[in-house]
Amino acid sequence: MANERMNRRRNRHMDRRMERRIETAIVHAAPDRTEELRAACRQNTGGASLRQTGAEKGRTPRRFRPAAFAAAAAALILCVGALGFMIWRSANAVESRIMLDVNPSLSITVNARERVIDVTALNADAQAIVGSMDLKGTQLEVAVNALVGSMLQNGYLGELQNAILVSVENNDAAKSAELQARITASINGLFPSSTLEPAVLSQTVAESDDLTALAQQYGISEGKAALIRALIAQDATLSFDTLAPLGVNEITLIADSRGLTAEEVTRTGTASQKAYIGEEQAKAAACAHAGVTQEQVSFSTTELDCEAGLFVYEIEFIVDQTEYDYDIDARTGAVVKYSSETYGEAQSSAAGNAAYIGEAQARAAAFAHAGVSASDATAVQAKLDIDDGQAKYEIVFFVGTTEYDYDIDARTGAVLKAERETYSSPAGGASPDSGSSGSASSASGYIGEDRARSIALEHAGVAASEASGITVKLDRDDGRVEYEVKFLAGTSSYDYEIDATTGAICKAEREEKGGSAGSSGSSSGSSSSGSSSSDYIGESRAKSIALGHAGVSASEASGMRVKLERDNGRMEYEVEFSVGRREYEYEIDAVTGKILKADSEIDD
Amino acid sequence: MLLFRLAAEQERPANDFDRMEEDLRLIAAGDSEALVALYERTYAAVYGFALSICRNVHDAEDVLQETYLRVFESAGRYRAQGKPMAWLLTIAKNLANSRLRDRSRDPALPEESIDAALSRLPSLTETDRITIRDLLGQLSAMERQTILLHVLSGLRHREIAQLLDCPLSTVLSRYSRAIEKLRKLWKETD
Repeated sequence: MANERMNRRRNRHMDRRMERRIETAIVHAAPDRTEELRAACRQNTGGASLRQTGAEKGRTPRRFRPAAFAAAAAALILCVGALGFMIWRSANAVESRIMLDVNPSLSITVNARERVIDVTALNADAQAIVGSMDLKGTQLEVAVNALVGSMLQNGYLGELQNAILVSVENNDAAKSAELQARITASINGLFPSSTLEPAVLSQTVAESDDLTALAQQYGISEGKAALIRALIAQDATLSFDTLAPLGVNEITLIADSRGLTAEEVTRTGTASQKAYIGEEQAKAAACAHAGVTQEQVSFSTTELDCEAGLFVYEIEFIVDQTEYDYDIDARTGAVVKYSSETYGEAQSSAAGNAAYIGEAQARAAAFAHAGVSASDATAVQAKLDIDDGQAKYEIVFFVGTTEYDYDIDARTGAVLKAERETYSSPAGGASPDSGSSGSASSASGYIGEDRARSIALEHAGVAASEASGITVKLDRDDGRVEYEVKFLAGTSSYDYEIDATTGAICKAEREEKGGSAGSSGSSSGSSSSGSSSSDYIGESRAKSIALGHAGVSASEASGMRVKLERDNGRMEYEVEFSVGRREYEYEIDAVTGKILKADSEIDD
Repeated sequence: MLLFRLAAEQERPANDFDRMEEDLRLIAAGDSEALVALYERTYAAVYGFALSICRNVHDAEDVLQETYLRVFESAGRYRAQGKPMAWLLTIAKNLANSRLRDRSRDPALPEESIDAALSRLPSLTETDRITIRDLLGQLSAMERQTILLHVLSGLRHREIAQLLDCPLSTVLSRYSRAIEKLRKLWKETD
């Protein structure tokens, strides 16, 4: 199956390449007749005598045609041929490439007369910006204005995000510098200066295979890749994975907060911080949450960072014997992550959020579940973690050489995860004894096949009597033990992965067997560990977003597949369908409904 | 062509067709720049289609120019219904077929070999030359027309079937056959 699919993909890839090859050849072969058309229009706007070539003279007696044609052909070759190709060649030779990055990343190629040859959207945001705009043949600055204007209009640029990176690729350094300056000025002119000032970063980049590879990998321009590379070289804690998805505004703020500068980059204006609450407010939010006053604490660090695509202030501070570690959402001030560790004897720390049961109660719940008394437990650690909107306490402790690892629902006190692992030698650097750990978890840890089956059936809204061909298999996937549950019901086949320890649904997949997209059956998303299904937009909404984007009606689409999957730490609906022989593939953020990937290909 | 490549990820260049219709409205009012804009947007499709019918570089060039002159004359008669590309290509098809008929009836017309004609085009790379030579020499007329329309026009298979006046299934099988032939050919030459 997988091989077949891979082959199909490879073939489609090859077809694409062949199609592009054909397209390129025809574009190269076609003459430029724009000057002739203009001249003909000038001569006669009525159009009656426009035709000069005699290519089609239906009512002319046939015997005269050879002469007419020969004359026409000769005239054409003489007048048009040479000139036409010169115009065509110069019009299509790439002289410079200008890349714009905000969060949309796009690249513009222009010829020697600074006429646009091509505009390429490098990521999905840029596709939204470029949209239906056809900028081919327009003057570079007109194109830049149109694109930046569209970013302003669509909110990619504005009060909260005002930074834009302009990268110029041209063999002539002086020309590059001149273009850089001109485009910067032009962009500055686009902002209503009284209320909004842009931060324009500009640089010259040279063509390089390394940068191209990075740019393609991350869906950004070579310019943004060059900027990120320069920053990472100065601060090894930063990475491409972290910075590439960020807008230029955020990258600039992170660079500023860490005192990093990219030497090649010229900057006008300051990146906006208005989207963020600022360090002081973040500190206050962390203290309020911890239930301590600012006088009690000694701040060790406050730093801007990006965690899983979210901009946060990382704040660490100590009160008495307890070290607190907060991630505060830099936009909203919400506590994203919180952990505290108490040295020495565990003491009840501040309760923080009133809706939560508190660390002490969470610890008690874990001890009770493990059947141990608090006095037996050593090296107890408690950490509040908010994952996909669900708050839980992560409790880790030892009793003798056994490590216990619990997740306790921070609101209800329910045990979400219970793990026990026994080490062969006392804890503290010893490696786990695989034998005993295996038996420990299989004895007490797993939910069992029956339970896995009923979780899957319940999620699918299918009664056990309706399902056929049920298989349940215990499998290890990415270091996690899961039950793989498969069954058929009606015209659908279902494929679930259920966490063997917690019973959380890690994967829920429903495939329609043949026919059109059925809207029947299965409910919206799945609940994976820590995120509730009510947060998700649901399969049918995901489907209609994809269909809407493709401009396809539900009745036209066949072979509809909707899959809820976790990818890059984010829940996504993968929507696949085809119309005729064109296959569409979408990835849609399960929470926001944003299109993360849109792909369509002709299948063969 | 640029606009279709841009739109390729989103399948249907519906908005480009909107732009074409807007161009046609302006052309009907005598706007020569709109004609140039329309040309820039669509010349590859028109030229490629003409070439696939005529199998002759000169004729295709003539048909290309003639098509837009026709458009300038008759844009006022275009009725907007979201199919400007099909309309444009129908004009090109008629002109190209007429040119083809002239050729077959008048063998005295100057005929140049494809290779010779292609070698005179300075803008072609060696790969371009092989590509066009194979398209013109190795595919049947209908295979050639189908694949070029598919690659260059942004029309759906259904619309291509309408334009070529044949069933949809024929278009699909021709496309597959053509792709298959080219795949074999170009594996050898690459």
